[in-house]
Amino acid sequence: MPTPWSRAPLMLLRRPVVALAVAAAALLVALPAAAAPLFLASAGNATLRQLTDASCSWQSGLQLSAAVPMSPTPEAPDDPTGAELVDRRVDTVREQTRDLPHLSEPVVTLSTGAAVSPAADPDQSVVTLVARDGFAGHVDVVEGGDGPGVWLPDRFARTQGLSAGDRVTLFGEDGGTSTRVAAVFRDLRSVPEQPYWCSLRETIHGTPLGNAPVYPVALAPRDEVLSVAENGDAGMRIERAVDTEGLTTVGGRPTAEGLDRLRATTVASPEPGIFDDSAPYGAAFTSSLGDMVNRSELVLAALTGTVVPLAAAGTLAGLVIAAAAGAFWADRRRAELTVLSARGVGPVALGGKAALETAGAVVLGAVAGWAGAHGLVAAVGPSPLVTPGATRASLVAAAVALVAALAAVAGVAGFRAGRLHDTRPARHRRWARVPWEVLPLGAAVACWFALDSDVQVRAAEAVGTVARIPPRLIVAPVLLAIGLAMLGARLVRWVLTRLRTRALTMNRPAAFLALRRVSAAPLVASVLVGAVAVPVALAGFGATVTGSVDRTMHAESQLIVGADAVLTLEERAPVPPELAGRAGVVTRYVDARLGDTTVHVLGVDPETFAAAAFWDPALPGPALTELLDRVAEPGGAAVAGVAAEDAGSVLTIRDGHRELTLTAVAQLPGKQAGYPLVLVDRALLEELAPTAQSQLWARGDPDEIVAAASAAGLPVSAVARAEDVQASGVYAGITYTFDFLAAVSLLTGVVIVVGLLLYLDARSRARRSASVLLRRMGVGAAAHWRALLLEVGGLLLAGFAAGTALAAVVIALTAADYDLDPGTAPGTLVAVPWPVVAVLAVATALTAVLASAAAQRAASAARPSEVLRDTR
Amino acid sequence: MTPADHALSCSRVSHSYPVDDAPVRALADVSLTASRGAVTVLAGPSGSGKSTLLRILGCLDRPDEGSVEVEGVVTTALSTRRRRALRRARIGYVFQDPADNLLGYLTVAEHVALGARLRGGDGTGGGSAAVLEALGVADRAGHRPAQLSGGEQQRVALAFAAAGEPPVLLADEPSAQLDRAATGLVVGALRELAARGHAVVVTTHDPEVLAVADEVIDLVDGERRERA
Repeated sequence: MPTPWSRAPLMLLRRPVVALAVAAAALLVALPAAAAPLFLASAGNATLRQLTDASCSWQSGLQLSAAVPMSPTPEAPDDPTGAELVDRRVDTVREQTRDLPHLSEPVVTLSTGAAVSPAADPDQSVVTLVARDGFAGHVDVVEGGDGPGVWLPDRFARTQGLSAGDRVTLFGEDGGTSTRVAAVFRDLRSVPEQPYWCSLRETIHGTPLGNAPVYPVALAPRDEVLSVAENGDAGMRIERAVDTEGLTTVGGRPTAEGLDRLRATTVASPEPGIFDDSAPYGAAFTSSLGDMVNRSELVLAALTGTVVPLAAAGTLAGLVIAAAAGAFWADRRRAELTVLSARGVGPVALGGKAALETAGAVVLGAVAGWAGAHGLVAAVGPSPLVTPGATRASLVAAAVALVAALAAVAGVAGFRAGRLHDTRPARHRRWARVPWEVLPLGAAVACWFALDSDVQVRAAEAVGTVARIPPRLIVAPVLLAIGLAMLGARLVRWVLTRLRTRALTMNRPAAFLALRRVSAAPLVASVLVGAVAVPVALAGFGATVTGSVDRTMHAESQLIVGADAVLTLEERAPVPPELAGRAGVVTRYVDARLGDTTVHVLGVDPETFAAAAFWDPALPGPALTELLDRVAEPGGAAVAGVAAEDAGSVLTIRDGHRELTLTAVAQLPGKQAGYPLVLVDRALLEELAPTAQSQLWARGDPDEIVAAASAAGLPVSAVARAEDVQASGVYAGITYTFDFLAAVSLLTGVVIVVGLLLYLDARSRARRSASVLLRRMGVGAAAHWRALLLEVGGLLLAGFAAGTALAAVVIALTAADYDLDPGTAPGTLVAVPWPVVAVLAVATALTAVLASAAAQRAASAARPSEVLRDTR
Repeated sequence: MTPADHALSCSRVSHSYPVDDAPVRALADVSLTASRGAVTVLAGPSGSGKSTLLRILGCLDRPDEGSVEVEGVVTTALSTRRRRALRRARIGYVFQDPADNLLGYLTVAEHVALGARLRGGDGTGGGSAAVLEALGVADRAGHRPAQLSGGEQQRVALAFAAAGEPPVLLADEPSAQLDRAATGLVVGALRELAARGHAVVVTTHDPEVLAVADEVIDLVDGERRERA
């Protein structure tokens, strides 16, 4: 004989709205829970990708450097030399790394010094002769390009009066080799850097601030280089780049371990005769993949402390909706529950019936939640790659979420059913008076003091540290916002309860009706206001912290470098026309004295420097343009890093002295750690130090700047980029944290919309009746819709305003902590996220309009005869 | 009639409802007894407290003061869980609206079987035929509520409530939404159930129901008044 329980599994098919609400609730529970492990894995993989992309792929993979003796040594007369040694080393490396994934084919580079003859300028005739597998495909050929011979850089060829086809002699340490000039190519120092050449960066550009001479790089086939090095040594590198396609923290680990084994057999325990470490032929092994994997896992660990609480908060918000869906189910099943409850069926059995009925929808919702989490992380996560372990963890999380959602639906349904009869209302009034908001507020204070506030995370392995958002900067503000929202909701309820008992006189029926409806249900209205306020506050807070941290870090890195790119020039040169209006020539002198203090001096053109250098209007002190006006005055100067009265006012460079009128400021562009920086007119510095280093400062994309400088033929010897200061994945965790917070805020917003729809649906019967009755009283559909718009829009607007205020409070309390590098000026620069506020405002208004329009449409469709007969 | 015949009694029951945080009295010091085999009618105008008293007698509400006994058990002293168990085992309750008494997806026979099962029967439907026969709806055993008239629905509701033979049957204005002919059938059903040994308590102001009462208890403004 069928019973309400045996019939339950298929009964929800006849209630699609309830099924949809339950499935949506389960989705909202499962999605954040499943997303957390996937997001963490994705962030770890993205960090690894970012690290490998930011570094030279040859060095992050495998780079084995060693000298190549060209003739046997007395200590090892039988060891292979020259070309044979090169081949055997390559074979050994290839053999030992054969099974390692994510590595490219080996590339061999040989190099040696050579003097080119004939040369128009014999003092400038030395080149670094390099043979690198496949080099011809990675240079811009200006002339020639066929046949054997040496490839010369264009600047060198021009200086020495050489062209393709000329015969030259390449002199090594002892003796020379005659060859032809096979090609002339664009000097590698004057073209944007290509990944192919990155491991030879120091050979090509030299080291920044280094004193070693940097010779032009000429290219030649391998045998040509070995021939020039005949009576000396050649340098050799075997490199295998990391192939980042599909590279994950888990997948990269075996490769890193395999490379460690190779290191053990080559450098730590060398292959006899091949990688002998006896000087001067010792081998050096470089691979940063292991460190990068460790570092990525460190970022992952740094994220866990904030992502997991956020995911838990999102899941809890979803569970609230699941509970609301349970109540919704109980309301829609009220007649049936009344029948069964009156006959003594208890809340457990009725909750069980709810579970049986909703299980299918919950399973569907949880599966959709897991799939949604997977899809979202793949589509908009830090990386589309996740690890198998993360997928398993997300499945487990989704399963737990499924059970929790079902328990929430069944629990609340059973609770509501159990309260249909035989209740004790007085007890519930007492519960309502308990100040529950004290709990999150107290927890916020406790978390602020108890949780870790360190902005750095360090791992057991020596891989340095990574910056992170300290957990307390997330958890405490979230709890604070929730607590304050609850407090605000209580206040709203108090006000509405007072309004309910007050006689209202209003001429406009829509306003009267809206106010009466809102004040008739103060609890629901106040919960809605509080529930809207929380995601608005979280989104505003998250966007502000994201923007502020980014703005602060950007300002710090820009101030250190001075501009987006600073190109060190070998000689004075004008600003390329392409960079006009955003670049300026600056001279720098690093060994000056201001009174008794050693200082760096920057000579600038007061007219153009403001357009070339970084400055943020929020920085303390006078604006840069104002400072430059003072610098333009005779003897005018600005100093950062020392108080003017402590430094004296006489600038001394070598034997020259100049009395300055100083303006002391907290920060100047180009001010690096250590020495104070003095900003003076360039003409003054050039007068005191004619040999001061020339630099080109420019704003914009560094690659474009370098390309423009190259096209203009500027003699660039080194490039400093502001973006490099934040590289190396140090700050990756921070970006990802706020990505996740933004996603959780969005999810919470969806939760609120679903909650609003449930709120509207729950009142649809009363609204339908009211609409019909009002029509009979002469209040038209338009006025009723306006009333609905005022009711829904008023509540949402109040929630939006409360959320914005909450965000402002939370930001004011925590802003000082947004500077993740407090040792570096300028300190926190708050970025108010006006676009986010505008989007939230529009979303709120749109939600109010759409929801009220949908409710009005349903109410308008009601037929008076049916409504008036429907007495329940 | 001896105390042993009293299936249901209440003593000095008072109850009030909070309206805008102020209590509004619904019942004051009401006492009564209802015996097996008798139809006891709670009569009075709307708002006199009839339904409130019936819900208190049926363990659907708790009185603020006073006590209720069902078959010698003081229900007001019991926990919610024990009151629910008592409701399941010993009390059949019929609401005024037929839709509040029946499940739309069960047939008449399935209702009666479910009622018996909730009271510890095996759910095979044994005995249900007799109840349906007695209430004149046996020929509707395979129909669902939507296929029945209002009078039939209320008689099926009575059969559902009476399934499993609870000693106490309570019906809240069972004829309020019925026409004269249907009311007659329901009144007959009430008498039949009393004749089967149930203590039947009914609220009404319908003269036709009052006519079959063994005892009429008048309520006015929540107080019991002696019948003239």
